[in-house]
Amino acid sequence: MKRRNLLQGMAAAGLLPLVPGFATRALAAPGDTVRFAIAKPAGDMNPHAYKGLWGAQDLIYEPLVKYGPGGEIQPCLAASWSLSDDGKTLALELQPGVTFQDGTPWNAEAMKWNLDRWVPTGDHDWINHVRLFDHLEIKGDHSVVMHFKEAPLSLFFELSYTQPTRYLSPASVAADGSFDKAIGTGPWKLTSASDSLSAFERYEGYWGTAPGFDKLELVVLPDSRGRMAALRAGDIDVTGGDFMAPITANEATTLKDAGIAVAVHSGIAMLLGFNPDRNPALADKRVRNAISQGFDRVAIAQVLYSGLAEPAGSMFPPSVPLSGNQFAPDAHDPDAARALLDAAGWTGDGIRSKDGAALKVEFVVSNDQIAGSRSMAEVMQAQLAEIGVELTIRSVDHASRHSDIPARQYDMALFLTFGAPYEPFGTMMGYLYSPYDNGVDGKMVIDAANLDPLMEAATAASEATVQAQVQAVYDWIHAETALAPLLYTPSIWAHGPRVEGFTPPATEYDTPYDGLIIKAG
Amino acid sequence: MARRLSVTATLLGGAAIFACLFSLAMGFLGALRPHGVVDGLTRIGALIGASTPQFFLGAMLIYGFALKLGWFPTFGDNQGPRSYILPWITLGMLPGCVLSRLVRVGLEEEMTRPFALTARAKGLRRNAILFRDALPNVAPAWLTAFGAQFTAMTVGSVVVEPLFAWPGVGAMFLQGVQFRDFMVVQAGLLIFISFFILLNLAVDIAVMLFDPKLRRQGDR
Repeated sequence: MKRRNLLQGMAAAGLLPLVPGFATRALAAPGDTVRFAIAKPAGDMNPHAYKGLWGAQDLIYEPLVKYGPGGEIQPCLAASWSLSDDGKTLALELQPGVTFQDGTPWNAEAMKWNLDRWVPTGDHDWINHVRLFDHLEIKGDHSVVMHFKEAPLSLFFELSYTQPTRYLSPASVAADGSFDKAIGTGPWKLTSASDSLSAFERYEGYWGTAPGFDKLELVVLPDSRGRMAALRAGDIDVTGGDFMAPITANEATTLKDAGIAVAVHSGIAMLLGFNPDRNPALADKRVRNAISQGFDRVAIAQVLYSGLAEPAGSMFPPSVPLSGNQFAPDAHDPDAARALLDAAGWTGDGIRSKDGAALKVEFVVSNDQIAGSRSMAEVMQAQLAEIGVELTIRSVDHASRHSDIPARQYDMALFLTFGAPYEPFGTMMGYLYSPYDNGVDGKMVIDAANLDPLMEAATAASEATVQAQVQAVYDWIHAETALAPLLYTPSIWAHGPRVEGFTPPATEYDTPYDGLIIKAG
Repeated sequence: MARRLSVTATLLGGAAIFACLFSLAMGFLGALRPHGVVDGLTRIGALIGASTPQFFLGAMLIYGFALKLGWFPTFGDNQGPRSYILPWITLGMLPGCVLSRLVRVGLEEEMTRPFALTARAKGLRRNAILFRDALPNVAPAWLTAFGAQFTAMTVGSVVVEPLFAWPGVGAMFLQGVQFRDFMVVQAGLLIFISFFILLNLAVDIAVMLFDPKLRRQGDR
């Protein structure tokens, strides 16, 4: 080969990327499309598998009833209902004139087909009404009665869940019954999906109020700086939410300063979990109490959350149904914390010790799980050092967080409540009831002797007694400092100037397209 | 996977061209007037460019050219060359700056060699000697270094692809690490390693073709 030929060949190869279509991916021109930025690909669209982005599934599939603003239960695939006095039978009139996106009619048979897919598996027994389900009685084409062995608590909240209580077209599975196509009754049809983009178009046969724009795209922007820049530049229209693409308080401030509309609303609670099984020092309530009083919730809320978070004293914010009496947040009181540690036998200057062992605690945090948690851990580390506790921070990635916490490989760790509509029972069962496997989220408190009976009483209570039974759980947690509520963190959404009519979603598992329109001109 | 490979190939190919042209231009400019103002500026520029991490440079380029000036999209690879420019510069800047110093130093050395002095004595202009005679002599060393820098650029794709939301192999690799998907990580590593081997082979062949001394060793 001659040198000249080689050079020409290399130049030609170098120009290859400029050839149109050499590497492109379809992305519709803005126009009639509203673009939401998401941090991770939407993934698996099976509504019964707990995988994928739930907000994306919310676009396609619908529940029997919807969780509306403020926890109001609204009709959806069930037009009306009647619950018997003993709470064991629920008569439903199904919404007439509804078809799945493939033309299959929504009726009692379709409902039964869906229930048969998820109820008998046993995978969803953490949901009261699934565990207590007895049978479905079909009274007519659009008239059914759900029979339960016992009255399930929080029935209507559970019926509004995103997973697994959403309805899939019976024609959307493969011959072997496995999930094949994403076809629901919802207002959006999935037209294409990849690791970088999920595209939807409005389902023109939708039975309810049609969305205010034709197309919706979920664009995967993994880097938060990229999302902020794209929003400011108008390349995307909406982003945010606890699970879709979290916006930190600092980012919210920057966006506001740049003239971007930011919506902040009541979010979820951030809790500090202790693991006395791994660190015996934490078995002493006084030590847990000292740690809780050793850091400054107000300062953290002000500095790290720009005042958008609130110090928490209870497991749930007051906006959550059955959240019980609100306890006052532990105040930052280093002297009281030192006195508690003295009383517990942890003494000495600098890092305290007892029987020759230093008071060291490993704190596992994951910025992937909670944006900014590493900074918060460093603040707590400095504040706890003042009372003689050596906090070692172990910062882990998303995957390690989801393996170490269920394996109880932590002394202290941060937990987030699940948010509406999974509160309070979803969060409580997951974090507090030891027999229930909480999967990758792990357990926060394990106490089979004291806590589990309280939890069993709460979940078996009637509507008349549930408030008192749930309060008994909260009282025990508070009295024992079994966990330390830290902050009620805000849910932050932002949207660009191209769209208007934005309202934050009723739950963080919903995509907030309701009322959204593209501005004229 | 084919689509991801094509995305990463687009990114690496463009960034390599940018690094190549940028390094030659900067090195040549510096060598035109050694120790002059331009030489000093290119030296400082190269030092800054070689010291700037890609995630920072990318964010600054997005802020300046996409957000403030609106010349380029903030993410994606769907708007033709407009959407390629910032990722290419982000990925190609660091190797381009490193290579520019190599070109600059190499050219200065070549200009002290007898053939250059003879050419000057015969009345040829310095620019002509630099371009026609000295630059080809720098090529073998430049190519070898370029191969190593191209390898670094491949690793850089893990940073640049997520930043610009390009769905390539680098983004897939990072996602595999984050979610501890070992099969994906292994596949990504296999692709990177295969690419390194092929690239080094290509560089060795190219160096041999460029350098007559190496090319003729086999004839003896």
